[in-house]
This record gives sequence, C-alpha cells and structure tokens, in this order.
Amino acid sequence: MDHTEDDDRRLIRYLLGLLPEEELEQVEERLFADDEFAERIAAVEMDLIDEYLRGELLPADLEPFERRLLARPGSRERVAHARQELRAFAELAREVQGGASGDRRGRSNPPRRWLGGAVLRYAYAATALIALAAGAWLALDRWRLQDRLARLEAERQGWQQSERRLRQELTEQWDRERKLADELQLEQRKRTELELDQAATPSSGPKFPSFVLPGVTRDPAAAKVLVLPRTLKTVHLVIDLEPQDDHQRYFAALASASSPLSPAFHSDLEFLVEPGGAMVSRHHRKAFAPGNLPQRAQFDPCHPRIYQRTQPTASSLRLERLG
Amino acid sequence: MDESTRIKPERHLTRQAFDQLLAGLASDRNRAGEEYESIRRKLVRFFECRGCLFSEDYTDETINRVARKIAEGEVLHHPSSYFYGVARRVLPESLRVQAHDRALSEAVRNSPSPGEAADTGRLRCLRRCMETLAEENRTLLIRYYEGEKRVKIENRRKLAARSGSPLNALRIRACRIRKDVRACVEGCLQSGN
Repeated sequence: MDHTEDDDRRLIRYLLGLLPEEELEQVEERLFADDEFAERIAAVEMDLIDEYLRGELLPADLEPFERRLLARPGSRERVAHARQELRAFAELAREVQGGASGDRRGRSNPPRRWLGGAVLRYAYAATALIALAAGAWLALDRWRLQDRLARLEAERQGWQQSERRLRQELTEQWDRERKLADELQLEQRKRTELELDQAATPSSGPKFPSFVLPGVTRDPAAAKVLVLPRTLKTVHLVIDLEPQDDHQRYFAALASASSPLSPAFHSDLEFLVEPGGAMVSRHHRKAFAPGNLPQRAQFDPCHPRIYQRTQPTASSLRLERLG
Repeated sequence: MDESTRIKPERHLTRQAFDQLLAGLASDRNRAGEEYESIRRKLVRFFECRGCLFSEDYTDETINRVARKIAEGEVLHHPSSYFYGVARRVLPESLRVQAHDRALSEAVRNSPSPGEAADTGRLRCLRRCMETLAEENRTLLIRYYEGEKRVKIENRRKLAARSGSPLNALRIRACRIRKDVRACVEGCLQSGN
C-alpha cells in the first residue's frame, strides 16, 4: 500500500467514524485548515458511496457505512442519486464505445469499388432468397412445434380427465364401503339389543329354540359373544368342524353379562380335534375374573369323549337347551 | 427527549449580521461568499463525522454563534480555526440530544421516497446536464467511473498518467465535475425540466 492509499484508508476510517480521538482531531484540524484536503475527503466519500452501490466495499466497512452514512437524513436520496449517476455514466460509456466501434468498422470496411452494381444486385437477390427460405423453414418449424405442443396439451388434458374420473370412482367406492360398514354396525347393534331383550325376557316353556350362529371364527380377537337368558341352567355346545383343521384346541367361556366387573363363573370347555370330529375333554366350572380368562385351555386327555361327528358340514355353533 | 431541549438555531441571520460575518471572512464580498460556503461545508463534515445526524442544524448554530461574536466586536484572524473551535463547543450539546435526533432521523428515513416520476425527471435532467458539460469534462467523468474493481482502478491510473496529474488530483477533479452536474440537475429540476 503506497502513501496515498494509506491516507485514503485513514480518510475512509474518518468518514466511517472509526478513528481514535487523537487521529480524529488531527484530521479535523487539517480539514479546517486545508481546502484541498476537505475536497479530497468529499471525493473519498463519493467513491465510498459508489463502492457501496457496486458491492465493492470491504466487509469490515459495510456495517459502519450503513450505521454512519446511511443513517443521516437525506442519505437515501444521496445514494439514489449516486446510483442514477453511475447508471448514466455507464450508459454514456457504452454509447461512446458503440460510436467508436461503429467508426472503426466504417474505417476498416470502406465500400469496395470492384463491386459493381450487377454483382451487388445478385448478392441482394441471393440474400433475399436465402432470407425467404429461412423464413419459410422457420415458419414451418414453428407450425410443427405448435402442432406438437397442441397434441401434447390434448394428451395432458386426457390424462387429467381420466385421473379425475378414477379419483371420483375411488371416492364413490370408499363411500359405498363406509355405508356398508355403517349398515353392518347398525345391524350388529340391533342384533345385540335383540339378544339382550331376549335374555331379559323370562322363558315361559321348557323348550328353548335352538339357534345357529354362522361366521364363528377361531380368531381370539374376534370371539363371538352369545348372550343367554338368566333362567338357562344347562348349555350344550355343538361345534361343527372342518374335516381338515390345523387347530387342535378350542376354548369357550361362560361369563355373567349383567355384571362385567364382578367375578363371574366361566365354563372351561376344552376340545381335542380328531379327524372328522371333536372331543370335549371336560366340563367343569372355574372362577375367573372378567378380562382374565385363560388364553389357552389345558387339554386333559383322560376325560371322556362326549361328542363326535363323522360328517361335519360347516363351521357353525349351535346352542341347544337341554331339558 | 423533549423538543425544547434540542438546539434551535436561528435559521436566518439578520441581513446585518450576515454582512458582518462575510466582512469578517474576506474583504472581497465574492471571495467572502466562497469562504463562507467552504467553511459551511467543513462544519457539516465535522458534525457528520462526529456522528451528529442533523449536522446542518448544528452548523447553523455554530455560524450564528460566530456571527454574534463578530457583532460583539470579535475579529477573526483565522476564521476556519475559529469556526472549528466554536463547533467543538456546540458538539457536546448536539450529542446530548442524540437519542431524539436518532428517532427523528428514523422517521425521516422512513418517509416515502419521491417516487418513480421524480426519478425519471432527475434522470432526464442528468442526461441533459451531462450533454451541457464541456467535452473534456464529460469524457473524464465517463472514463473515471468506467469499469469495476481492478479494471476501474487500472482505468483511473491510466487516465491520471495520460492527463499528467496525480491520482488524487484526478479524483478531486472528477468529484468537482460531478458536483457541478448535481448542481445543474437541481437547477434543471427546479426549473421543471
């Protein structure tokens, strides 16, 4: 850095309020004593604003510049004016350059005398023809492009339409499924209510109608709950089993429906599946807390076989009241 | 900060006080006028670089105080230094009301800008004023501000070498021409383009 640059840096620091008091007073004394020095400060400030506008300020100067110089009233206008001036200077510089290069072109390409009028005419005609052909080709190319674009647009619209249709179908299907689920739930609720009503109604005769329950499942999470009348004393469970059955054990529980929180008696019925039928191992009563039923019944092979079918037809559970 | 605590310079000196002030600066009235403008610019610079936001108000206050002293019979042997001394005494008063000044400056800064129409008018005036410049000055201005970063610096070095003047002198010259252009633009805008 030479002496001038060093001085410039000092003046920039003065303008940005970064000089220590002693140096600041030195600059101020010179400012009031030396007119040219005052002008130099003005010129450095002008350059500083230009550098800010061009993004050429040192990173360390940016913050003090914005805090000091831009905080002053009227600084916004001053900076805006400086921006306009720089733009105007640049435009003028371009105009000057353009004019100069135009002049240079003019000097370096003087009209050539050997180019006779006929040659010029042919040249113009050829140029015109080429321009015409190029224009036609460009027009054709443009037409092709537009045509292709139109086709692509039509395809896109077709895809959009089919997408909309599929979405609508899907929505309708979802609606139907939801409706069916609602209906099913309603039916199940009605049926439960009906069964509860039946359970509450005292039995008038010794005969209790048998009922067949389709859709009995082996899934423990979806176990079927049958509500029985209070007056019922004996239950005979008959389960029709598939001939080819992987399951070897079944479990059924008898619980009190009216008071689910109190301990109730549960009937443990264990079955051993044999080819073509089932064997009930034992019928005994145990006390289990509701919700604490055994997950798997224990099989006791010593208990007598009480029921066997040789020709099972379907998976169903039938309850019969035994006199 | 209460408005009453802020320095309220008497913006307009009386004719008599102003004449006495000019007479104290130089015997020739034109020369005295130039000297007055020069001192005024220096005072504005002084207050600006000391961090005062409304530097012109404090400049006016300084000038008024000096004018009062002259009216009281004070003779200025070194006017610039005298003004500097008075300005240094005004400075603490300005710094006491800085918070108020800052708020006021913020309000001024947030006021709406003149707008696009004013910009267009200014640009038109700028172009016109550039055309009225002497060819030599216009070329200097264009060349001086041409390019960016290293290119710009190199341009300026070449320009200084060609004109046979130091870089600093060239910069001051460009600055003067640009100030003349600004003055021309202001005149153009006041005359309605």
